[in-house]
Amino acid sequence: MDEIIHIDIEKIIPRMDNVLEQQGMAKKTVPSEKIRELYMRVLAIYRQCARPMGIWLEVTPEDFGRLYEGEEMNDRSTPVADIFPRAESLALFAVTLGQAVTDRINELMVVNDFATGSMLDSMASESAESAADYIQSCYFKKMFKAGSYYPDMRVLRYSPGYCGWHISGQKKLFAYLHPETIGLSCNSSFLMSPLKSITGVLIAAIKENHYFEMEYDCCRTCKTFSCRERLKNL
Amino acid sequence: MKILEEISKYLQSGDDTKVRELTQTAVEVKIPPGEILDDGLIAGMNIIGIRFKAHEIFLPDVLLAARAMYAGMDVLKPLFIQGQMPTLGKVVIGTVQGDLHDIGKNLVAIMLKGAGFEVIDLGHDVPSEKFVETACLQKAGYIGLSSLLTTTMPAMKEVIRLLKEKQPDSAIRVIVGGAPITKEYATEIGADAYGFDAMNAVDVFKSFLSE
Ligand code: B1M
Repeated sequence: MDEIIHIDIEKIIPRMDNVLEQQGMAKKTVPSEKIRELYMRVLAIYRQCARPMGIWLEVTPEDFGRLYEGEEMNDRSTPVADIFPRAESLALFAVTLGQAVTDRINELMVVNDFATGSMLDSMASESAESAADYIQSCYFKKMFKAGSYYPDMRVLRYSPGYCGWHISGQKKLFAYLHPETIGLSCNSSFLMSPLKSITGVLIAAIKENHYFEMEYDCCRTCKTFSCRERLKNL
Repeated sequence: MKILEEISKYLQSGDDTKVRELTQTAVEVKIPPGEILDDGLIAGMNIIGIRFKAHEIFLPDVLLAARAMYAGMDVLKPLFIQGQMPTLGKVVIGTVQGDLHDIGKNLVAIMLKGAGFEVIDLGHDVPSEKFVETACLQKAGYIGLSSLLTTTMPAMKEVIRLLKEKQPDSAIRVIVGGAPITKEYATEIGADAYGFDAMNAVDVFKSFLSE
């Protein structure tokens, strides 16, 4: 059974420094008063137009294995391929902030309010990540409530388009999860509408089973190494 | 001239209301529109570019300044013959077919206009033929292509192929950019140049002016 979640917007408001980082300001930079004001204005607009929603659906390792093969374009070996067979449970997920945010960004750009439009874009991007983190924590809580939790169990998410999982994996993920129910669609380039959306798999496994060495092909071309941060926070 | 310095100053602080007012005043005191544009608006925007590159100011500051620049340009535009502002060249820009990412391309377009280029923005998910047709029809000097996905990158190659097919000796320069694009990829597909961010894109476009 899938589960649709209406996410409380206040739970996924991104931190100002994260938004400003997306605007090219290093974490320690102290924003000017003008930029702070802009941020507050953008936050108010964001609260008005974001409609965060999520969906998840549990999937057996066998089904996920088939689905993960996607269009057979993944890297030869990937972290997810090695981790998921060791998982306690798996669930596909999708989150979206809805179309209104993107529409608002476009409207602002049209009237030359570039600074507001661009910061709203950054805020929405950050917030989409927060929404995915929120779904991840909901799944964790659900397992806890159902008694299928034990100490050292952790949930971590992975998405098509990252870590050697080819973006064309979106096709089978969509066919299985049907995120259309929360308003998502995917075009032939595997790009989703609304833009501020994320899909992926939630992997629940004991802590040690999440760890991997950065020795995959994808690690060589990776620019973010965000997995290190995620694993550190487990 | 004092008023042009003021325009430049208020533009740099992102005060669009003040820039609009001062540009209007400059027009009323009969300063030639070309001078207001070059020595007031573009001069201010150039300083913004320098300060941004020196990490003294940040993207939001640049975008506030750009809005102020546009406010001034709105006042000047009707004063040029047939609304045609003097430009550094005409750019047809867009995000390639299959790709809906706009924000990066928009930033490039904003900076190009701020630097004095005329920009025809075709938006996103633009069919390859449309880039070529528009560029030829509008006698543009440049086509700017943006792509954010590996799956839409091949559309850039297609635009270049179509351009070469339609105009084998075309002088139209193709500049590409976007998250997955690299200098190597640009060379591989026969693009004339690659821009890694909006500011760099302006330098890249400008580099062709000296030819
Ligand atoms: C003409 O000359 C020129 C010259 C310069 C030019 C130019 C033209 N065009 C651009 N430039 C340059 O100048 C601009 C201004 O400085 C720049 O433009 P950009 O558009 O690049 O920059 C923007 C101003 C800010 N940049 C961005 O908004 C993109 C940043 C990154 C980190 C990113 C973000 C923020 C997001 N994403 Co994601 N995202 C990534 C991006 C990785 C990266 N490092 O770029 C990318 C694009 N995403 C990716 C993926 C996979 C995905 N994302 C997704 C989701 C998201 C968020 C919602 C979290 C968020 C917003 C997305 C959005 N489209 O609005 C999903 C897809 C969403 C969808 N709608 O389909 C999802 C599919 C993940 C999933 N399974 O859910 C990757 C694509 C991989 C691929 N194979 O193509 C990706 C490259 C990350 C990665 N793996 O490294 C330059 O590129």
